Amino acid sequence: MSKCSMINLSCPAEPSLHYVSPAHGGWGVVRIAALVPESHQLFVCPFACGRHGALGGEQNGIKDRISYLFITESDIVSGDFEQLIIDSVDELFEALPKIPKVLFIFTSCLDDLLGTDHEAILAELDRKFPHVKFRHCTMNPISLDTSYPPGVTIEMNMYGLLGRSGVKRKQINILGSNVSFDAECDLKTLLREKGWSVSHISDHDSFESFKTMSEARLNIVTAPIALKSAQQMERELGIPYIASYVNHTPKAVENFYEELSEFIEEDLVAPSKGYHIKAEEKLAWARSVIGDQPIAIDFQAIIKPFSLALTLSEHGFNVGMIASDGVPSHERAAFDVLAKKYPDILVENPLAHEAVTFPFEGEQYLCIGFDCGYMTGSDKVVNIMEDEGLYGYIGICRLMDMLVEAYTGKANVQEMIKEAGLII
Amino acid sequence: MRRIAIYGKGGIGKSTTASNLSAAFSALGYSVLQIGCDPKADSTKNLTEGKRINSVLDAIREKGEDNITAEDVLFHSPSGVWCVEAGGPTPGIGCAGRGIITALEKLEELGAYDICKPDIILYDVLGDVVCGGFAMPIRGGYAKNVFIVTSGEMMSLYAASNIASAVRNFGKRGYASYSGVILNSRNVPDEVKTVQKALDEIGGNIVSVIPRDSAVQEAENQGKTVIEALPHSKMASCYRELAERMIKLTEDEQ
Repeated sequence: MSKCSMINLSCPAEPSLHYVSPAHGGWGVVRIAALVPESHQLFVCPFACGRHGALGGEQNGIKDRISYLFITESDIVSGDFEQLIIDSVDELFEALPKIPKVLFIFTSCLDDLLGTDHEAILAELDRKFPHVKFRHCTMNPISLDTSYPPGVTIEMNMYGLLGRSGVKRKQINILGSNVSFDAECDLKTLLREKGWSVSHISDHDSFESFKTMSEARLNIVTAPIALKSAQQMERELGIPYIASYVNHTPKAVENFYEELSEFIEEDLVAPSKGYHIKAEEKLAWARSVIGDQPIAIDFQAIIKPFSLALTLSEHGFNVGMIASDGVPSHERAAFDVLAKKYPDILVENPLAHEAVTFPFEGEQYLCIGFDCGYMTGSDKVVNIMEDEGLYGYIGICRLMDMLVEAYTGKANVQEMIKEAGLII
Repeated sequence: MRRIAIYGKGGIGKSTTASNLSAAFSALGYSVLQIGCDPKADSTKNLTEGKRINSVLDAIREKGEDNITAEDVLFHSPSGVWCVEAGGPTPGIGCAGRGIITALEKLEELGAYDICKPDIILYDVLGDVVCGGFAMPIRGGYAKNVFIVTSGEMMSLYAASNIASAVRNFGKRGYASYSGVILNSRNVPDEVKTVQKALDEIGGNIVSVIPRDSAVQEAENQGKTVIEALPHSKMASCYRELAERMIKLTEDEQ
């Protein structure tokens, strides 16, 4: 635990023993991949990994879309591993009620050590089943510290299914959010008024419909997980992108609308003024209700926790702590200002081994995110994960409503964690 | 671009052959990238004045996976050859095959090939182990032609047979093809005859016979290839002839 003016910027900290609380995690690659309509997943892994995944699938309501090929040591050492995967797909398709449009073949960490020739496997499967799209995906948490962790590669695989389209619509895709934004989200409303539609993968219930995402003129990247995927779509499909991660700062939202206005050659800033004023009013209102109650912000709940801490501090809130395992590059500017202007805010790495001693237990923080809630034992907790569904000015308003609800209500953190499907 | 892999048993003279070939290709006017795929990370030593260069895995260890740049792992030798060493884990622990996979993937990610713009890529690969990692250079997107360095010694020929068999397995997938054997003489009695007899079973031809010559050691003592240290020697001519022959035997792919 350190004050933000004193933390070591090289964090994530040196490799050490980690503490992982039951509240740690997010959607995970299985649930994200299941967003692709008419897709199925085949997990190639040892028995125990499969059991873990199956229970997760059950909790998230997608168990009927996941199958498992359990492998043994002899499969690995004999070199029969590759043929086994090909044969198992035959069996899987015989067993499924309907052959899927897409099969994601997930391999677990051990595959990283084998150097399996997945391109050859996929080529053979493509030949055998020309109407199915096969993709190799990795369920390898050991790659978390690389440029291509599982979340990033699954997004690339999902949107890599789209082919270049000759048709271009006045349509903008949202990448990076796991859920579609509400109809009243200012981004959707403002674009709709200008004749543009907004498309999110979860808006599509068939693979054919999903493919129309390639007809968009622009991708908006709302979270870092989808940045490489957007770059890939720009390269392969000719769809440019704007990276504007969820930000609860009214001025940042205004800047985003300026950039977007330029792209669509329509003014979105003037018509968004009302929303801007409303967001500022909501911030002021929440501050008046919450007063000086110390606030803790969790990096799993908020994509830009340092930016949020700065915004809240500038609006008079008492931010006490940010729980984050590091300062990502896109948060560096906010962090620098924060460290200078609000040097006493604590930065706690929830994954550090000391976290297991629960140094904040019993301190009454108003927590944004349930990992902070778990760390502190607070009953004032905003139930949110990865900024789910929040974007633009309405996102700020909604977050302020949730903050006030959490402040005035009584949270059951255990129930929140269970609902999020994190305990398997 | 020509993509060539040199395989062979450990200690058989692959790196000496590879670095002399690189220097010879370079002297012929080709832009060359030599990638050492051996955990010992000494493939390019004779191209870099006897000094070891930082390997890709060393750089990852020192600077972190996300912080390394192509400049950290790409070195330009005095003879104009671009040199890379994949490197390996701490001896005795870790997985060397995985190290090769990581290093080759990292080179692509860093855009190393765009920086060097090589006419020829030469992979120098240990051939005793044929796990997935060490087979990586003969997979799709990597080497197109595989040459095996062997002597007339039984263990070396046994390794050559294993490697040829692995290449043929991959060949069915349209990957690299086995292009022949470079006989690096150890002065075994009837060496050419012995190797030729083995090749009757293994398949393939002797592309070149490299005689055993003290010039190699003399050059190595200077931290150089024979091409650079003793350019007018018989051995230098021998490596140059081999380089020219390999140009004819390999395909220049766009």
